[in-house]
Amino acid sequence: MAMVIAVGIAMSLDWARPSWAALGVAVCTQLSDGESIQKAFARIGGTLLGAIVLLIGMSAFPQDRFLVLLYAGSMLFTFGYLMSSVRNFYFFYIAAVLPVLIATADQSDPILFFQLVTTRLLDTCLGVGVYVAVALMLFPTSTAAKFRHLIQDQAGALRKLIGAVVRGADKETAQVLSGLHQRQAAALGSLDVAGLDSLDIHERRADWRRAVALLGEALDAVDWAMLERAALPRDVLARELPGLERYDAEMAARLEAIAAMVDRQPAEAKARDVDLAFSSGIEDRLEAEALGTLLSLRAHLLEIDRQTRALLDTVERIVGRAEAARPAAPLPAPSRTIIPDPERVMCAVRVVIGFWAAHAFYIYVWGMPMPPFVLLVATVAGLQLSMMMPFIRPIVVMPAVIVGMCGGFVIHIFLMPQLSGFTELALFMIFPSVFLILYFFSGINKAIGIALWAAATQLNSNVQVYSFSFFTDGLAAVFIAVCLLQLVWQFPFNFTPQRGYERQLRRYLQSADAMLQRMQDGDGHGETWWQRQLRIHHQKQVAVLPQRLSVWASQLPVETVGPEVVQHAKELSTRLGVLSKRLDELSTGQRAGAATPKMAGELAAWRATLAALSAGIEGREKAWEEGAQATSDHPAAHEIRPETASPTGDGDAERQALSERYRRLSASRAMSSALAGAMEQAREVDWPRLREPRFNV
Amino acid sequence: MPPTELHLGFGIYAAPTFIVIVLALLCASATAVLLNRYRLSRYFLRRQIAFFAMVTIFVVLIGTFIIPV
Repeated sequence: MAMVIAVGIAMSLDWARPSWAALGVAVCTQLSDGESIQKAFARIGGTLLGAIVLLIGMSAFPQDRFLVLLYAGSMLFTFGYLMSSVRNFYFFYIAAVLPVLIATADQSDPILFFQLVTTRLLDTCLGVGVYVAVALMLFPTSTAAKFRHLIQDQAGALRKLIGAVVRGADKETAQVLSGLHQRQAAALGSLDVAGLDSLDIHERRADWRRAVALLGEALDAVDWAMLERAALPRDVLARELPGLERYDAEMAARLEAIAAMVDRQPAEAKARDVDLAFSSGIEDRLEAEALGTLLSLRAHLLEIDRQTRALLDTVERIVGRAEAARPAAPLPAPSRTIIPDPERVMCAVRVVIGFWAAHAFYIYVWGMPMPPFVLLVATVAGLQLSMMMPFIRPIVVMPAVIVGMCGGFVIHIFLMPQLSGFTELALFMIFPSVFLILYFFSGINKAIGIALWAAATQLNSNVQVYSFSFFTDGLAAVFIAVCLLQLVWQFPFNFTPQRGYERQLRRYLQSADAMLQRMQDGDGHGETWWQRQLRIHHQKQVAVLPQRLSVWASQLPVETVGPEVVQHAKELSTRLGVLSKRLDELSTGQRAGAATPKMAGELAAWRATLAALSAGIEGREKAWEEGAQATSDHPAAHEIRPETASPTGDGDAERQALSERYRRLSASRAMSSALAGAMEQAREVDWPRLREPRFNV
Repeated sequence: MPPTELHLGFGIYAAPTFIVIVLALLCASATAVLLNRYRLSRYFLRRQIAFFAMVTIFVVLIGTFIIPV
């Protein structure tokens, strides 16, 4: 419907290129309901930024195409890199695409650029505006409700996970855990969207932001608690922490109250203190390692208590019980580094190489069909494929291309001449064909299908031109562009899933080794600015890569590498996730389990294991035995083993220090076992088979 | 031999070479998929060149026996 209205208005006002309005609608169809306003702002803002970039480029280097290429390449690289940030991707995507689009739209007269930019802005505003109006007026969906549901779901998940820590994990836990962190990552974006279309969320958005952050901290703490819980025998917890049942009931009551208040229902909200004292004589019954684990678990449970209490306060403030609110403590600022993410840099370079390759065709290959179209498709599809789904083979978009173009062409030649007036055009052509494309395609193919349909039907003005060669040339141009993208998929960087998986795994191991080396060299005191940047970079890599590895593992070609290899590769990424958490615990100075230089023997053994793991993946069979040896033979951590004294009870400074030593011991044990687990899993993967050469079809 | 064109219907004519090349590409791709599936690709040293060789072979075969060019 939006397409029909947008094209209708553009045609009735006799604007140039109504297909741009159609494109505005086409791109919006990628969105889920309710994100339209945000996307509309991003599209218009991106169009403005892109227009400024284009006009600067054209006025600075009007006569030298290579300088323009360099300038355009650097802009494409910058915007492409920034596009991978989840929240602003669309803004930068449009800013990257627009200069190429305008520059290729009318090469005959650069003076027309300004007019074209204006037209583009008008058509874009129209397309997006109409889409938003149709979405909001005819099919209104409240994103506020969606956001509130998301927070409720997360609170519910937190409650179930706390239950799992107290009573032990069951089948339901795995279900709760799946997608938990993605939902948490999506919560801030969802808040941005809800803040745009609902006043109540907008007014309290700072508090909501805080609530989301607190929920994230609590989920992180419960993650830790589950890890520690898994290392303890089943009966120990109930025996040694008698207050646990009451703790569980209190957390359940708090989270229920939070969920109810988020849903705007009345709720009894009163946070009571929890008592998590150990039972007496615990140090006689437990080994030092188990005691350390229990101490860590207790610390994480208390952290959950603090976070949920703060969350309850924040939610109370949101629902207007301001008198109950205490002043909010500031949240820790995320650490940043100027070192860019290597994988994202590679993806952005891929976009630029694709753009330059298409340009080289444009300049040097004579008689190529529709070179501007090749350039445009190579840039637009290159950006989407490289930055969002780098593992996808570009050639797989060809079915959507063929359906979109052939369908559009058949309609254009055989149906359009029979139609008279916009009503018939809308009723018999635009509405049914867009509906069918949306129905049969999903994801990126949906947008490609509609965009090429809009191009093939040549809705460029009220005066229709029927051209067979336009269609054949267009199809050939898209095919050439997709072939170019297929080439840059493997050169200069190879993005086939098996290579990408292995590359990122190697990078993970390097970063993990760098973190361990840093711990060996001493803690963070007196580090230079550059060392700090490097440290944060490695920490971020170790934190991020397991999730990415899991995504890449799911993209491995099952039919050629076999289902076992895919399964083992996925499991390896899960094990590396555990290893990451353990590394984080050891490397963060503030945590009680942080490594000290006294652990030199252990650190050396862990590094040796990592080196063996790396060599094993490379194909050195003996490395697996060496790695297993290093994990089992490392010094017995006697340097950090505490004397037999009680770390429990009322905490004076000495007992606190002793408790930290117990926890350090337990963290070191847990690290060894996480490393051994990763090693064992890596050995299961059939690396030669994964690396086996094959046709990339 | 005089130049020929294939009638695709609706008054659209196409060069047989074009059709033959498209078919050869599809056949070569299908062959490559099968070679991957049965782990025979590892016996090829330069797979990109091997793929072009397969396309050429299919062009010759289809152009000789199915759609004479």
